Amino acid sequence: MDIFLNSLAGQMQPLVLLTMVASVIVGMIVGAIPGLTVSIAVALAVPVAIFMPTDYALVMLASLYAAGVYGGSVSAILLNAPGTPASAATAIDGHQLARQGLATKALNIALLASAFGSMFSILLLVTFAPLLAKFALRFGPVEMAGLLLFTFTIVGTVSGSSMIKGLFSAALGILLATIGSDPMIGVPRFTFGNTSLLDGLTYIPLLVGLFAIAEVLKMASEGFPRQTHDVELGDENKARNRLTRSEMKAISMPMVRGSIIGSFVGLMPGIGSTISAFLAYADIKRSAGPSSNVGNGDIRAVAACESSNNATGGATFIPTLALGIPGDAVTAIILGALVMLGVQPGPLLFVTNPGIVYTIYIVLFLSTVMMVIVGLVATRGLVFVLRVPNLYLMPIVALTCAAGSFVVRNNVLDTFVMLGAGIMAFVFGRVGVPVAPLLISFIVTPPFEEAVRQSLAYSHGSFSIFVTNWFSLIAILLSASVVVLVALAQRRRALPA
Amino acid sequence: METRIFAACFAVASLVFLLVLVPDLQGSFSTNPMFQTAGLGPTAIPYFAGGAVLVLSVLMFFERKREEDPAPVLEPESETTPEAAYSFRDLAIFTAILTGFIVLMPVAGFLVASVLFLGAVFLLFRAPSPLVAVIVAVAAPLVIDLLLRRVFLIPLPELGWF
Repeated sequence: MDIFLNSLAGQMQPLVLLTMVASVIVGMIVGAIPGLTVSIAVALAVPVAIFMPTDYALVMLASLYAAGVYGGSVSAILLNAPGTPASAATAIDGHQLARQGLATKALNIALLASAFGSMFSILLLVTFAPLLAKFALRFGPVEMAGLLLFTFTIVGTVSGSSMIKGLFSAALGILLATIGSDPMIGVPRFTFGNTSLLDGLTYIPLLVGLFAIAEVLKMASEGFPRQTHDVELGDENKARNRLTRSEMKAISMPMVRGSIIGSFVGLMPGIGSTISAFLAYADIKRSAGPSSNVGNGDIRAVAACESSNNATGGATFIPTLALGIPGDAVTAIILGALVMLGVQPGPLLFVTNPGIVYTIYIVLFLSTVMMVIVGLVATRGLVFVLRVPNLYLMPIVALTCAAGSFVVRNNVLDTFVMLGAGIMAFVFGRVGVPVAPLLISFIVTPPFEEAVRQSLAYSHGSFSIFVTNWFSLIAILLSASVVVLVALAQRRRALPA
Repeated sequence: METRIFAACFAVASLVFLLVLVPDLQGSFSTNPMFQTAGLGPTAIPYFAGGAVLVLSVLMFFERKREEDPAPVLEPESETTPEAAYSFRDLAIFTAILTGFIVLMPVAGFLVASVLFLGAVFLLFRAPSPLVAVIVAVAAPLVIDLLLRRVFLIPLPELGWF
């Protein structure tokens, strides 16, 4: 209890609260601008975060994440251009509502549902993360190897439209993670005599390149297109835009269902909030029936999608904190930042450093509250930000990325790693290969390699250790089942009807 | 077509990795008894990952393009925004300017390199308002420099006068 109160008191410091407010505002703005995703916001903040005290860094990163997902819904509703991929499902009905003169109502429902989804998943996080961590404390290298194998499989198979491309991305992430000193005996691997590579590819330039530079290059290849604006909030009828009691009642169940779907998806590594929002959309469409207004401006659809994508955000922290396995690309970025700050997420964190765990709970809760306050006051102001042309914005993002990558080690090699990663992710985007599996695999490969090699050292080189251990055997069987099921499902979709 | 070229490039790269780089690594430590361990050595994961990339590249090369789904429920997890008109020339110009900025920044310092970088981008991509372009090209680096250097105490590269 003392540790919790200490963490709470720490978050009540004026400077911490100021960091939180600023991060929520920046998160909303970045999330709202089409092309600048939550991943980019968090990736750009990491080079700054590693120079801050751990508490402040956590506040900044978690607040950006919490607010960024909601920010994406603003441009989705107003412009039909989702600020983040997770808001794409919201745009379907949200923009229809805006076209009917109900933009403020749609924005308020999105804010309410986002806050509900976040709170729901924070409750799950507080309840289940310690239990999962307690269970995971019994894990040895064999169990860890099995669990991480399952992570690779899930990340590779379900995070894109093609399993082959997802697994390819994951395999490339594993390959890139082998650059640097061998984790067991210290042999330099693929460093080509360059001492800067002995620690491996530096994490910050890689993630900044994969997420931010790739998007800037994409915009550049399109000649920095201008946004179009077809919604003006000033002309709205205020009475029509007020939320009524019956409307609140109508959206309550979709919010609960969306939050459950989002939380479940968040528990699975690598799936992410985009898919959870579309699953919630499919669910509300099915449950509302064919005669419903879903697809043409239904408030229930907006509520379901937004509660789902925000619930995924909180739930992804469960595997991240309890097992050290990132739930999605953003928590992968946060996990990497925590490691750079000297905090190793995983079951031991709950024993050795519970203060950090409590801080994360409190920050997620407070940033959600802050998001509601800022959202109610300032959402209309975001409309002005959406008018900033990409040509002025994107080059500034690029120079911030380059500076952020350089300052990590004052090494120009890192900025070239950033550029290389950016070009690679841009090409990935062109051919439909997802980037998230690469980053998640890159992060979990070192512990996977250690676990596998330690296990084989115990068994004197015999692979039977992985099938005689029940947990590892289940993980292997589940991994194989997922690959077969997804392959069959994709084959069925590919066949002509 | 793009996917096939991509897959072919990665298949060739993974072959080079598996046939040249990993055996080189194997040779660098296999004769040293200090590095002999039970189970897997340092080349096991590289062989596995390289092999996986090769196999998946080949599969990607032959993968049939999926017909457009009339009512997609699950969209791919994309970190990028929807497609617009694509120009390789614009991409090449921007990448060249960015590379120039990366090379110049450690030498000329963040501020000077940033102003030149933004100026070049706004000029070559024809910013709608020259006045706004000049203001942004000067003000944005100053604000970022002030924030990072003074507020967050992050040491950005500076111009070396002597």
